[in-house]
Amino acid sequence: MPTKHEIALRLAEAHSNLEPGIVKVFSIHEAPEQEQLESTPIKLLEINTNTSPSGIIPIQFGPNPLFDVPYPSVIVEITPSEFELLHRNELRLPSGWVIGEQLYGTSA
Amino acid sequence: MASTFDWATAYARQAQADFQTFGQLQSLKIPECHKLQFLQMACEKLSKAHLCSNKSDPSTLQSSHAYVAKTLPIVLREHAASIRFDGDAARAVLKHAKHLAQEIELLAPAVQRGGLRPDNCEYPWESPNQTIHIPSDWQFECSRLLHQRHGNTVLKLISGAIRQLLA
Repeated sequence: MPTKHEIALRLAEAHSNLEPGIVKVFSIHEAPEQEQLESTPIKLLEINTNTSPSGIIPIQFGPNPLFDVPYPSVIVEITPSEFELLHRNELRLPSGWVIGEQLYGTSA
Repeated sequence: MASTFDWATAYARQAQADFQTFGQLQSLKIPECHKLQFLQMACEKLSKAHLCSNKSDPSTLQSSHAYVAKTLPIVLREHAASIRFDGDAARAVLKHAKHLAQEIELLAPAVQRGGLRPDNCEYPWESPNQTIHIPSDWQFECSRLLHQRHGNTVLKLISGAIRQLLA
């Protein structure tokens, strides 16, 4: 079975291929003991120049084994300005969620 | 207490019923507003099904209609990716879906974008020149977008996304 990291990379690539406004994608992590569970969703933070500044709205998706996505996933889509607010702690992810590795896009 | 999965399934089932009714109304000679109302309700519930989580309160979700414009395009994009619908064709359809989602959200009377878009599927409204409009006479931008190229494909993606939730 593919790892969560492999699926996260694949989702990030697929989403950025479909939405030209996505400039960066990061993983979002929870505590390691949570991340080890298959039921803990893959979480992607997508920075999209074509989206509205609506704050942090986690959108849930179930596992989709038919299409080789065996884990649930969550997408949080924000604008580049909101990403700056996140960095300045003026916008916050849900409790226990931390921005992780960059999966797509050029580094700052 | 019901689980978030139960809530998501409930929203998805009602989205399916609303969307099927939208389909059944297409052949009837009735005002467009009635048909579009079922599309708006289906899309709102499809969006809310994806917003149910242990970090959200179902009662908060129920009280707002303003979830479609942000959430529906992401739901349809994820569905497109999962069925390997990609390339230029998919990008064009998803761009159209984003426009449509904004218009679908505006069909709910509570969503007026700061008073700039009072047109909706249910209640009469007054325009700046003091003319009263009623939904059953109105030409909706949403209808125009649905009949454009890619409109049908967006509807297929909505239908597929609902089915995927219930699979």
